[in-house]
Amino acid sequence: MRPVSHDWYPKPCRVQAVTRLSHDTTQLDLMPHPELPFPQPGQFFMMSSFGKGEVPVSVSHIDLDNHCCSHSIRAVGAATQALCSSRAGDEIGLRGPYGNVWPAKDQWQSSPLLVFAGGIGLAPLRPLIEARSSQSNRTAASIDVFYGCRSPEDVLFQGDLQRWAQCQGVSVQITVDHADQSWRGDIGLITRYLREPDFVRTNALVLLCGPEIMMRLVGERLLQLGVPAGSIYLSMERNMQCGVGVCGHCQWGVHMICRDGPIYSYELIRSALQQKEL
Amino acid sequence: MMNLVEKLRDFNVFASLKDSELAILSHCAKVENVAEGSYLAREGQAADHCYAVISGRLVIEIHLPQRPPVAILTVERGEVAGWSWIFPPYQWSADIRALDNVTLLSLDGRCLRAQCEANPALGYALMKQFASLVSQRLQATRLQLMDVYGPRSPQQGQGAFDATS
Repeated sequence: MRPVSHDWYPKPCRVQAVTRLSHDTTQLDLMPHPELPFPQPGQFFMMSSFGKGEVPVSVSHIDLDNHCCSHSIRAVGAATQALCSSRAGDEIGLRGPYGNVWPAKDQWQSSPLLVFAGGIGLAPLRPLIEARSSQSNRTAASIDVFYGCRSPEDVLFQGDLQRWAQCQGVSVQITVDHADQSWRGDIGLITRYLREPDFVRTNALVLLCGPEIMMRLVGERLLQLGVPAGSIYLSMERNMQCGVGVCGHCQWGVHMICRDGPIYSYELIRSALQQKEL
Repeated sequence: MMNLVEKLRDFNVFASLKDSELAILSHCAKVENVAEGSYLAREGQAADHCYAVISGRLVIEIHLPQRPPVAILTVERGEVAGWSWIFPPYQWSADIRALDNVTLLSLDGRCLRAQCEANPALGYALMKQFASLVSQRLQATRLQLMDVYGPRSPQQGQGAFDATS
């Protein structure tokens, strides 16, 4: 029998702080195990609640100064409910980080950034937006954040969204599917922000993360508006499974999301997104 | 009058019309200011207007028994609220409320219908534009109904239209 790599064993980590982000989403601040490499924006860890299960969770905040990172978890199953029930001081398992990173460096370093996020899809984009919008790293390039949610109660990272909107060169627009009369924001699909002639930004780097159908509609609309497919990147994080591509459940056509992703160029994944029942 | 023609041209739904057709429509249009919170339409009542938003936002609402109204769409600058004026039985299918102080072009639906009957080419052009608007709203509503943002938590109930949520 082939020995199992030590990289695949969960390392015990203490929960430092717990923040309720919404009725079903919780943020855990963790001090990663010293043997684990520090993550980069876009990467994910496999998180385990001992005795309950293991799930892939993207990194939603990176604190380089305190060597701490955060994960935002939506309680939808046994393992995620157990993780969301964690208290400060509890021990959970962590292995990783896995996956590739958002392409925000090199030729994209000074490009305007367009971010389209849906629901908890804002979490993996948050470290990059934080890094780009922080005063010390601020460049002339603009950042436009478009965020879609089911309802106002589902809007995550509300404090961050408000803070980013105050930063120079950063705009934030939020739309929900439905709301009560107290909601003062926009209502409708996220594609409402892609109307001509507002949107001719062919030199921008576009990052998408959310439900696949949202990413497909936004991607196709961007192509119609002349944005090159090669400058659109998306995270297929919802399809991650074992983290290392051996269980096969992350297969998306010819792509193994855990092994090759979760971040793909739209050019590369476009045909798979359009395939029915995939 | 020329000013109204120019204003009409700013809206996608009217942009493809000829100048002569816009001039006809301008006879049915006037600029109005609407205070925040005012209702421009009530479900079931006669749909005798179409509203093209110049500034501010309108919100489209649906009323359900024993529930507060559910807001399902905001309509902003450059967009149009109200397609019921063109399709029988000419009744509003939802409420329209001013979310902000709104400046809009108010088009008289009865006047528009009379012009469409008298000018079939204009009528067909407007019918194509408003059918396209209805089609876009239908597609958006389908996606909203699909509730694409993942499974609901047990605390959240089944959705906006569920009496228990």
